Amino acid sequence: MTRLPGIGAATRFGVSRTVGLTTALARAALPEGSHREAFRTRATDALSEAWDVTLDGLLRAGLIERTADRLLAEEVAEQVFVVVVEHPATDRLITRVIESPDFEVLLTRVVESPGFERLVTRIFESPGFERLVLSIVHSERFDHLLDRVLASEQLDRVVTQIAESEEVQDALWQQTHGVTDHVTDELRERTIAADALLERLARAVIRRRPPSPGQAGSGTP
Amino acid sequence: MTTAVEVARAPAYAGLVTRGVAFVIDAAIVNGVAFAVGASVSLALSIFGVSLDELPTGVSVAIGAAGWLALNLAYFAGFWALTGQTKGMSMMAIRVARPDGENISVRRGLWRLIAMVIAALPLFAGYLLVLVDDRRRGLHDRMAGTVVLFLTQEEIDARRGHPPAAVPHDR
Repeated sequence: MTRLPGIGAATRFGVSRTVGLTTALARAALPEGSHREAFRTRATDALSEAWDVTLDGLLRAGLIERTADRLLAEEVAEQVFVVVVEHPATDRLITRVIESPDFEVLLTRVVESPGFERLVTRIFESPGFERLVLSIVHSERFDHLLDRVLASEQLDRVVTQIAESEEVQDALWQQTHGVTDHVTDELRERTIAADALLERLARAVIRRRPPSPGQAGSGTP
Repeated sequence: MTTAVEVARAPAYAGLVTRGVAFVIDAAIVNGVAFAVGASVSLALSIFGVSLDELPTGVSVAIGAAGWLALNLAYFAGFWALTGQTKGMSMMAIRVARPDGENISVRRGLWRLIAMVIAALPLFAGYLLVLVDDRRRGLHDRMAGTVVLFLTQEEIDARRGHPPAAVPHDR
């Protein structure tokens, strides 16, 4: 497996222990009950503000474009992609993070912040982002992953379930019949107009009066 | 004197073009079915070593004509008597009925079909009566005592499974 340069076992050990110790100290220092909730709210607010400030700083410094270019130049993006996708702890980590209640609150605040919108716009518009996405999409690993997903039974089940769902079938039925009804309605309107025209011509030829109201095609179908 | 309410409730009789389009659709359906049946029978007989080409010309023509006639009688008279409309008429939202609006019987349907052939004999002049008749009846309609009516919007919506329109729409 490809390893990231410069991140060794000692570094990982040091970082994980530091984070764990900090968390334990924070929990011990905080009081129980509503005070802890109030602190959590204030901490989330502070994190959101810090997030906005950081985003603005990143945007001003053009750090994102430079980082993307550098990652591309050193082929780090593909290596990170491979390490993350193939690591067994990835699934567990994602599950734990997503199931955390704080994650939902934090994510909502982050997404709703104006700085986040600016960041997303800037990222999508930057040429570095385009190059980054293209390098991932054109990589062999991505093709391999895509082949695995397409060949998986789970995808077959999902597609089958969607295709057989009543909602999808109802929508297809209504759309098909809606088009047919529309075409026949149009055709009928035109033939009704042609009926009236031919009838006027025929009556003019034989000099016969048009039918009195309430007769012939006077009523609308 | 005709009042406004009577005018609104007057039946809308279908004209020559609308009926012609419906008949063309029906002719396509009947001929398609006849072709499919003929091909199926020929294919099935070929398994037993029998070919329709080996039959005398008179016999094969008689069988084909009888089958085609039976198919037309069943299709037109059957649909007129059962639902008041063939598939083509259903697409054009028209139906055959007695002058009082009721569905016709099988017997009247058979007679109407024969009358359609009679109306076509004088260079289809029997159908041109639709253009000048106050109730848009052709010769075959007069002979069989029938009229061809447009469906009301409520009837169209009901057949399509739509909820009824907010504004009542009388024929």
